[in-house]
Amino acid sequence: MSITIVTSDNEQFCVEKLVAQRIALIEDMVENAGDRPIPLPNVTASVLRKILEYCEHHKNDPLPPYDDGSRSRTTHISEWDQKFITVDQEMLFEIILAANYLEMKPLLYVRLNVPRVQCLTACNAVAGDIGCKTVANMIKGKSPEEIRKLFNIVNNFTPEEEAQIRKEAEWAEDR
Amino acid sequence: MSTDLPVELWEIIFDQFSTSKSTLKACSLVCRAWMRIAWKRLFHTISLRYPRWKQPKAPPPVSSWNFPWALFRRQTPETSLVGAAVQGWAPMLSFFNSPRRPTQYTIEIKIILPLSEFVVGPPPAFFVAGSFRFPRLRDVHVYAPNNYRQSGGSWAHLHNIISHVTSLELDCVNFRSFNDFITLLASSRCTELTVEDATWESRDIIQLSHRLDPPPIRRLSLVQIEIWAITAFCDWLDSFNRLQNIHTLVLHVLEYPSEWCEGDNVLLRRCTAMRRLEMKVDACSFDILPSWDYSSCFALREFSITSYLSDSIAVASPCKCIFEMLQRLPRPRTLESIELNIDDLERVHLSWAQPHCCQLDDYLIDLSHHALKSVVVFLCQYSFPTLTTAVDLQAVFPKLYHAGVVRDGL
Repeated sequence: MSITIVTSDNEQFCVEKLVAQRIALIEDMVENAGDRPIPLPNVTASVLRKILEYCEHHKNDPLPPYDDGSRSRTTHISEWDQKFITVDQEMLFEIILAANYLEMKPLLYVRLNVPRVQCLTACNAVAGDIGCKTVANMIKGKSPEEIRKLFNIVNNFTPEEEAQIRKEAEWAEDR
Repeated sequence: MSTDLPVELWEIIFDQFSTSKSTLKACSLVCRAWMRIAWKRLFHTISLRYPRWKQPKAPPPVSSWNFPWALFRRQTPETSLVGAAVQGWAPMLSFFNSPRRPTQYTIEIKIILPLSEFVVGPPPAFFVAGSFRFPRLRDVHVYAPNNYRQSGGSWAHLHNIISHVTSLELDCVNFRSFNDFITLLASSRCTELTVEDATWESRDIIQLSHRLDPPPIRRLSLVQIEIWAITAFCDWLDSFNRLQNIHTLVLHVLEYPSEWCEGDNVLLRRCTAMRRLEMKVDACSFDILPSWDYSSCFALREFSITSYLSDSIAVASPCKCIFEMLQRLPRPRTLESIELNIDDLERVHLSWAQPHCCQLDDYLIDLSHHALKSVVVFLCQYSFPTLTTAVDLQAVFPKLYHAGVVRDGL
């Protein structure tokens, strides 16, 4: 069985239901939509294509049993996910925004709190978090200036403020 | 926000840095918007130690506490727990009073207040939750050690702060009387209390105990305490119906004198509403586990064991002892979660103890058909660097592993 999804730029995607089930928002909409196409006004075709690629790969993973509010602290990303998320920064942010809109918690941030039985290859069980983890990994180990350059952020501190903040940050010791 | 993601998504991204303060520090210097998100995490918990003063002739006047004072010993960061070791309170005060108010993000303060030393404290009511300085402060944790039962000059400082304390750890403290002890506690709003190796000069138990309202303790640990004191403490809580508040009991399992063991049994018998039992076990004392009196642990739902290394050689299989201990629970089938943080477990599947491990595996599988939903095992990779954690877990608890009940805590 398949369903039809229409993106913001009017492209139609015919998607296997098992694959679409990975997208919480669509799963909720399917019941009310009947046979009608499901519109996704906030997602473009290029982003949905990536999202569906992710869903297709993870379609047999156990669904997250519940959202316990906890997030994985590890910044490890599995090999396939790593490859999947190796995109330019604009697409990366688009994927994160779309995952947020589509309530795709594994793709966004929530740890798949599942037993590792089905995923014997090391840490593949943690399929989630990849969008935010990827951004986190981009930031780690960089200086403030490097981070600004990376994300095109304007430094809106005065030199005095910056010096003061640097001094105050000394109070927070590395653990 | 300075880039294309909304703040709530940056918050999620910054959550990844909870163990990397250097990254948070760098982020705090990127721009104003990032500073706020980073500071929430950087200053969520502040650790500090009351500064010593060098010459115990006369304490400095309270009014002088906020000025640099030449007699302070230079403090060096001692451990990772001491996040903000300083010379006196002056630098700390300038931090607390910064115009950007970093402490507005502080939820928890951890304070070391050495009772055996002469220290300088801030004025009373300095660490007040909801104040301008600490608007979000929720928890004040005080660790008050007292080496060699010396009587330092710091009791007044503990009394100054006690009414704001939510978590209190007293170590090696000698109280003048039992009344002094409960008077101190009654002044606090402790939800967590740890008292280790305390003594009392007199046992005046009754006089005040009906008049002083106990704090709402939810997590209790009494270690190496004489049985009369444990009984009196339980009586005090019980007379105000506060024993029912205790949902977590922490016990230390080691080769105690028998009186201390009996004190632990008193706690197990009387804290009948206890839902979580945490046991810290000396690796060579596992065989004590099954000998305790669990007959009143009807409400127990969560059970956690952490073993620590001992110089002695372990004589009993931890799996065997845990199995026997679980069988002594009045309602093992209501257990919902078990955490095992035991070094020896990593070796059992290669050792003589394997049958016991299988026995525990079988028993836990049986419990998983009832309320047991989660068995968390903390395994260290150093023992088997060539194996994955999944393989370790599979080797130790094959049935639990294939049933998907057990998972790696790390």
